[in-house]
Amino acid sequence: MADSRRSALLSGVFSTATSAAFFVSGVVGLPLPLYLPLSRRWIWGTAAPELSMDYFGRSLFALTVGAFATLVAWGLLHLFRRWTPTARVLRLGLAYAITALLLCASLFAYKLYGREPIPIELPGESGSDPGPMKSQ
Amino acid sequence: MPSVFLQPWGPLLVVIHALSSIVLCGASVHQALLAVQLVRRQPVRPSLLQTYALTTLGAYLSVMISGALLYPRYRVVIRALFLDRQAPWAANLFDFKENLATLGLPLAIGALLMARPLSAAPPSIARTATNQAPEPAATRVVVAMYCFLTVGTALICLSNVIAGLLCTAVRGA
Repeated sequence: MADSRRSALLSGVFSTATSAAFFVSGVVGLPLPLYLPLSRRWIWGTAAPELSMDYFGRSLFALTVGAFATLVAWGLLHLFRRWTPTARVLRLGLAYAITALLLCASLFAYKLYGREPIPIELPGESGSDPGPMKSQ
Repeated sequence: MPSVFLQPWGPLLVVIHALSSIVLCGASVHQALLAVQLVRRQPVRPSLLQTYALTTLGAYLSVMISGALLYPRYRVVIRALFLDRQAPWAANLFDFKENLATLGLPLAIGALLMARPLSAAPPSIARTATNQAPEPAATRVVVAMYCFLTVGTALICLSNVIAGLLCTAVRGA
């Protein structure tokens, strides 16, 4: 069962770190890669001068952090080969993974519930330049 | 209106996205049921653990990649021009679904990571062979972790399918 315990711990670390990074990206205005679908280019920042998408950058950031944390955990497990995760450590890992996932999902549910999107202007519609648009 | 990335390929990508999600739902729910069987200490066929884990992750990646390729088209043609004006709730629900999909990917990868050692020595079989669990507490937590990963993946997939259908059902989308 030693291998399955190590795999369980690494899975927990991956899930926790990804959820935590995703949570942080939703709370703190981190500069992320933004895709501008109308001009078909990427920029780096928190706001864009036109219609933009932050989903790719946010996901890439969270998954990269998760993969890095898992790699570090794997390296540590490799370094201390004689140590096998105990039931208590695994229980903690599971609790952290569940909590991080639920917290992150709740945060985005809260942020998106009732959000009022800013529609782009169609040709012929009057209005002034709205300035830099917060990525959605 | 300028064309967006892969706009002409939209219908084909939607079909691939939908077909992959059907496979994903089937595989992830079966995988979750296997995990529940393990929790209930019922015997499982070890080979199925890896088969469903591989199928789930493959389908998950297919759904995510086709969805990512479709996303710019959705963002401009469907969301910006229609949903943001007529049905903002659907745009918000869709964004929530996308975020959940990213959070679910580590669960699917983790389930595959655990499937190999578990299929080599499933807890219930190990108990039958030795007539007692070597370390019941650790074994129980390992199975609980596997259950969290698989049931989490299945729940995310099912809720995303429902959200996707609701958004698609909005008139004109």
